[in-house]
Amino acid sequence: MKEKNCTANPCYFCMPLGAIFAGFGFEKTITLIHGSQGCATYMRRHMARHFHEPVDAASSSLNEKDAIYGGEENLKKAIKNVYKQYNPQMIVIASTCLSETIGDNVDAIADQIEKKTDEFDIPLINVSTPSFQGGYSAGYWRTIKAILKKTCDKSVKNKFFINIIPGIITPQDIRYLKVIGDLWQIDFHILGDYSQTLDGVWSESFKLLPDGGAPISFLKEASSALATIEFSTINPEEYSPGLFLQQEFGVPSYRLPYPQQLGSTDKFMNLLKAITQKNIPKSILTTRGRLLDAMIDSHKILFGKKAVIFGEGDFVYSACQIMEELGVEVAAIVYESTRARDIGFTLKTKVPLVIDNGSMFELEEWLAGNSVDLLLGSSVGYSLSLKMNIPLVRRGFPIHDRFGAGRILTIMYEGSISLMDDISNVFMEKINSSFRNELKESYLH
Amino acid sequence: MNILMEREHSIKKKTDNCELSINCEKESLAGSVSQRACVFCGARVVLNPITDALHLIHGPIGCASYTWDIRGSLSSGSEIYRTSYSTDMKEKDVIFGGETKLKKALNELIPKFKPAAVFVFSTCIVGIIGDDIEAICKQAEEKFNTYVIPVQSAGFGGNKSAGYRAACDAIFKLISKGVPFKEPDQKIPLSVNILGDFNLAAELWIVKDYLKRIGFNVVATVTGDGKTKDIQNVPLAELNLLQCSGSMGYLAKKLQQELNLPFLKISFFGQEDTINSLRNIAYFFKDERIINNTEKLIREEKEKYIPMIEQYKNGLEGKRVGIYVGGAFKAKSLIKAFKNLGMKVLFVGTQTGNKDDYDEISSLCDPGTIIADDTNPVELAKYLLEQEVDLLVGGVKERFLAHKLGIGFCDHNHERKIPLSGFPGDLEFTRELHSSLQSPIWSILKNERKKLYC
Repeated sequence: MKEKNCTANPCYFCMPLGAIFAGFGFEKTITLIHGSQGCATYMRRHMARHFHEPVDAASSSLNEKDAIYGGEENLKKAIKNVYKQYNPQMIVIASTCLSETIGDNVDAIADQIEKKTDEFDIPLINVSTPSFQGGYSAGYWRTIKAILKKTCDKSVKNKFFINIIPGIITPQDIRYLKVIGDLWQIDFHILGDYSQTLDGVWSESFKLLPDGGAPISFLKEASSALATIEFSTINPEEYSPGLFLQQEFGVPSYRLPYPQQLGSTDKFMNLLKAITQKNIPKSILTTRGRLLDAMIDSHKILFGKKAVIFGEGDFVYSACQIMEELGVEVAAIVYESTRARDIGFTLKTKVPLVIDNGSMFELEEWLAGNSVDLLLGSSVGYSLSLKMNIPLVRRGFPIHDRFGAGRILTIMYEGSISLMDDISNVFMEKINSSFRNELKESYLH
Repeated sequence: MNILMEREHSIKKKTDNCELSINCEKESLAGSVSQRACVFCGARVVLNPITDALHLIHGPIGCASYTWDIRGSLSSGSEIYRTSYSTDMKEKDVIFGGETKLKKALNELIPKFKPAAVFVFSTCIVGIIGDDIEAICKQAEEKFNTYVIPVQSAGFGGNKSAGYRAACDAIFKLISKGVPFKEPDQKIPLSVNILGDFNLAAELWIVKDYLKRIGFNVVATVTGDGKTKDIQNVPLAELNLLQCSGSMGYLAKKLQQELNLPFLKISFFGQEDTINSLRNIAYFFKDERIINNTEKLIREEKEKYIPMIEQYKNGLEGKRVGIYVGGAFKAKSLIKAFKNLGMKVLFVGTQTGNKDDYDEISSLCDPGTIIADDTNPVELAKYLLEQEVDLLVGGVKERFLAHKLGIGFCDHNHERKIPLSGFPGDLEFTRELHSSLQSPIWSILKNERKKLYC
């Protein structure tokens, strides 16, 4: 594929945003973006609009002087100020294109603070997330790995729990994962549990850092798990926290696509069966049956329809598989990945158009000469949807033009049923609102 | 909640003495969690509403992702400004320089879209690796015979105000390349430019309509619904009307110095400021017909809107409000608007106000009001609770904080979709306050609190 000189209307975001996502997965953790003031503010704004939650992330507010002489002083000041204001249990320090280009040695700075300051007894996580190296999904995975690298202790003994690293799904999904764990009667240690921190509850006493998040103790004992399951197959292996735990502590690691629709959810359930030596709980099989039943109900309205899918790599990959199962043709995909063409190659059926620099504008140009029935992705597709009059079913990040983004269930058989219903109903509504006129125009002469 | 020592001088309580001596116009404190953005953001939001220009961001992808269609600025013509172009710099470009990529991007985009002008924004990385965007823009300008304007907006070069200045410099450059710049004496009679209105939710069109009805010729709108050619006609107007002084004051002053083009500060937020602004403009021209038309328009608007506004005033009197906005002019107008509604202002903050702004804000406030510069969520939470505020006016990041505190919220930022200027805006504003405060949710929360204390 020819290298492009320009990307217009990107459907993805830069790496440090993924670091903030990851940070919200742990108890009383705050992320500090080492860069210009704008980076943190933009990311906070984007996440706040999606989740309808206050999203606090600090900035080292680098200025011209720091850009020339190095940002060490500001970073130190920032760490201390964040600590004073938020009293966190962990601080994630995510680099930016600016701090990486001026060459700050964050590891050394964090080390200095940890060693020389008595009042400081919390982990400072340093993660490299310059935006010229990848998108927010990469930033998320790098951060989880960096957190584990810093905090995970040598295993004491094997315990009956499984580490689950969920990736960028929804708070509702994470709540549902816990339900699945309960049904299996096994503890899921969700390493990155933003089910409450990013989908908060109103309470009388306001907390600057919201309650919730995986306890830091989960990180320490991650080495004692039966296994680690992470929902990503698209991000490079060197970003994989699961593979790190496997190499370092011998915890078996499994990388799965998001457990969505029949095939991938089956994979997840069968894996749990193999790891735990238990049978799949009956109620889960019942839901599976309900999904099959629903697939029969909507098979005809979905078959042969053409969809365009856009978003982060793992999302697009999963969504493509869902479409394959439903008999929906994937006409085009838009995403960004450091492993550029992987998605296109992994799928059984070839996708006619693969835009791997995330440019929604390129998609728009293509749509001018090609007709499709459905857009599946985040709200970055909304203007396109309006302009081209193609329905948009909203999944992924960010969904800023609807309420309840944090409350959408997207995983397991249940989540698959809701996605299928949403898509089918788009077509149902279209048929019902137009069939009388269309038939009149065709046959009443 | 802990207030940082270094922040203490940026937060003041209004006393009987108007001298506030607040610490402002400084870099944000590292780790404070400022609500401000960066230089790039400042430049981007000011220039973006120029509708027939292609806006190309030279840098890694993030800067373009976060600012795509960031404002609700409306256009009466071209839509090209709504596409967010980026050179999407990768590691290789950072190491070997991004100049080639930028050149290629311009070579590809200009012939394809034939924009009236191109703005090329530099970002943090470009500021560090030193790509010569001035030279590249110059080359492209000559090659394609269009305007290609570099915007020096590396994120770290100060705060948002520095970005406003970078944008003003770029606009000035665009103006100075036009023919009227060389013949500024060909004035159009009774003519004005509007500076510092961004046509969010059609606000500019409300103001423009007023001016037309009175009998003015509106030459250029900078930058809301802005068009390259009109902006180059700026020198032909007799007066610049300056609304958002924080972002465009620099340009107004520059035009005054270079072209002897006077400016008048105006604001169309709230009835009081709308009426005062209209009268001040009329008096500037000392034209009897204009003065009569202005009074007629004010009468008509009052007759039409005041009865409708009255419907929504119910329940607002005595409510306690907080204001945290970007620009100081907006804060000042809001204080007056709230006072007219019988509401009490107990907290006022801005991201970019200067010393004079804060003294003026202080003089408009009652003793006891907290005034803060470049505040953060910790301080906002503390003072909104301490001051027992019922409603906060601010932007998207503040909305959810307010809601978590159990406080109503009114959006007065880039993304608003209802106009807040002129009399129609005052009606919308009052209606917005009404629906924010009269919803049953607040009494439900009050009951919840009671239950908790039982």
